[in-house]
Amino acid sequence: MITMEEAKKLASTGAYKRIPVSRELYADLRTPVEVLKILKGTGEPCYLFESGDDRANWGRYTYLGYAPVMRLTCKDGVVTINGPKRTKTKETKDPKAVIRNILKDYRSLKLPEMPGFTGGFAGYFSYDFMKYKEPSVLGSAKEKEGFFDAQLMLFDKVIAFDHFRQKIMLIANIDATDLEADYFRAENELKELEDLIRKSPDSRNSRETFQVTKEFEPMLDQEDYCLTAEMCGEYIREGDSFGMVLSNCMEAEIEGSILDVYRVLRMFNPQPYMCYLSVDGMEIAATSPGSFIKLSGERLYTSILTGKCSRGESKKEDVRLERELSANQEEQAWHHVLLDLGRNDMGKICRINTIKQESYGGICRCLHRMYLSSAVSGRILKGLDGLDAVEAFLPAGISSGGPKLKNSQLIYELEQHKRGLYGGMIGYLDFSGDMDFCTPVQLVSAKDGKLFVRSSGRIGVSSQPEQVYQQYVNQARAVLQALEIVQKGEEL
Amino acid sequence: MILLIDHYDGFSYNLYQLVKKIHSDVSIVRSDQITIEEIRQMKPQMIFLSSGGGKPEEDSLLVQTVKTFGKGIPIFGAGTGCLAVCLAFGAELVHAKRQVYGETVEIVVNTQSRMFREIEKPCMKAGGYYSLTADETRLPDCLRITAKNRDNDIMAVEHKEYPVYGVQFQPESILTQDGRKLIEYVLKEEVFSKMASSRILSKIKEILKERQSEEEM
Repeated sequence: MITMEEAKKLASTGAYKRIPVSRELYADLRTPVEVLKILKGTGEPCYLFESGDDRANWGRYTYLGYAPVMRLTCKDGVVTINGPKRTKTKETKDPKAVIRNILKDYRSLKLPEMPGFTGGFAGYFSYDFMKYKEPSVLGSAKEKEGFFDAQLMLFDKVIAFDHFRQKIMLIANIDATDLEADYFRAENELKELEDLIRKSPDSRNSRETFQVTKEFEPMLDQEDYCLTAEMCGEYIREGDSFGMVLSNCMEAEIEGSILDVYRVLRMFNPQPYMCYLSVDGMEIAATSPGSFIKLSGERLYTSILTGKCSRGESKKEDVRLERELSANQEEQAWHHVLLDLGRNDMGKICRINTIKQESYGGICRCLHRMYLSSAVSGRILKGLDGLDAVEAFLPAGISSGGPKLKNSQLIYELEQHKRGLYGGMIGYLDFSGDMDFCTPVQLVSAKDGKLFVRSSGRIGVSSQPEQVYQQYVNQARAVLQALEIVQKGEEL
Repeated sequence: MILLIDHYDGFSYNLYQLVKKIHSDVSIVRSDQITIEEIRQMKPQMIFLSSGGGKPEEDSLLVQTVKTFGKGIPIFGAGTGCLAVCLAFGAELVHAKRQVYGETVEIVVNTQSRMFREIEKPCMKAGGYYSLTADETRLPDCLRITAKNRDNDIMAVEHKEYPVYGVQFQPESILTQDGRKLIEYVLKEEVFSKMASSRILSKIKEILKERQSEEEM
């Protein structure tokens, strides 16, 4: 923990409104999921961000938080802020400005010994958030899963598991204008947090209830889905689109929480980005093979991971599958579409001559899957910030295809529903201005006794509708299998 | 100033970044947020037309831009922009023999043409995102085919008299080998060289004027 003297010195620069301080515990006290259960047990909104892959960006740390100091939702031009003292609503055409204004009061810095996220907004921006930048796109799409255009929670405390140093860091942010008083407040709060983690009863064997009470029904049945995919193909043949993604949503009725579904997902399908979030009666579990947008200082990164393919049973088979993936023309084409789209989004907000191909067409391996992988970076224009990047990159190309705008119009027309978080992004935007968001590939959400699984199939030049349908079913498979395991309950 | 008309494309900003690397003054405007009159008032040194999906209509801004300014202001169209160039001079569009999205396409360029003069080898790898192209059998005389793909589809054209160019591929794609070279050359030919000559011209005028006033004194 930085000393009072150091904190004073930092505060005296006048550049920061908050200064992060920390307290450390041994990581072997609790597992991250145990802590998540403890946090969820308080009844407060909470989240967990973690990585099933060491090399990835969240990799070294698992972040958790609960009891946000502020909750913000944005829907159809109305921003609602639930602060510590009161609830405010505001009509706006530019929710970015409202969010930016809040963050301004928390301006903080990165300390070298601290993890990447030490406090800030955690939550999501939906696919549909794009309408603030492109009001013409949305049309009359209906609600399905109950996502907001954006939903963010402001955390001034963070629990960070450092898997490298085997420590749990408890981080609080002290008010730089009232250091001494706030230093002791923070110390007390961290002590309370430590007690919560240390002294809560062992939850490892307590199970959340979960039961599917009414079986899944898809938004579009197979016939309708294939017919719609056929229409997408027609748009492509006429040159309106150069690749489309048709999503579908399966809906079931449930009792209980999906926390165990997340537990199974992270075990059976570990991915570089995995998150669980519970707020105001909604639960979200999502995983993704890579960062969608990450801002670190002035440097903005995006990664393109496509062409999901299973890992081989043996090393030899693994290499053969890799070769097949690299040689697959259709996968290569799709990868290049997304790469050119990603470069384009980068080009909207980055300085000339700063856009760099960090990696190109390599193979990224997860435990059970491998992907074609490329990454692009650029230096963000002076005066722009992470929220501008959110706007520039939505919707995620991997869920929209391209050209993004034209496709989004077509998608709303064809699917007739809002996409919610699918094709949007989930992650954090911190007090120093940095951010890290992924776009969910596996997505399950629950609200008001209903469970939703959204996934998609991709339509290219030569796609057969049946093939596209199969893709959509396959993409949902990991989540559906997890649901089955949780219902049986044997392994949990 | 270079004007880039963004026809709601997925790649307009790739083109923007590419052009702006070479010429510092580039304005990007969406095709439905500008009129022919406003373009006239902007007095661009050159106009780039982006791609943007679909077949451009006869009365669309892209086609009208080429029709109105093609004689005087240099124009470069990519993808849909190229289709607009072709339509403006009376060409008809057909489906390409094979639709291509996100693929590397081998094209054979005419190195004797104006636009590809600086491309050394006639074979070039280009990023293709197209389903339509101009019909060769009904191509107006005023247009010269300057590149084709292996299927014999038209991949680039230039006007025989006017400074108007079109490429069916995406010069700004990661897949295009000599995209920057091509844009650089077109800008050099159509913008920088004219800037130089107009600067020299105004310098000469200045000197003559000075001399005249000296003589008068």
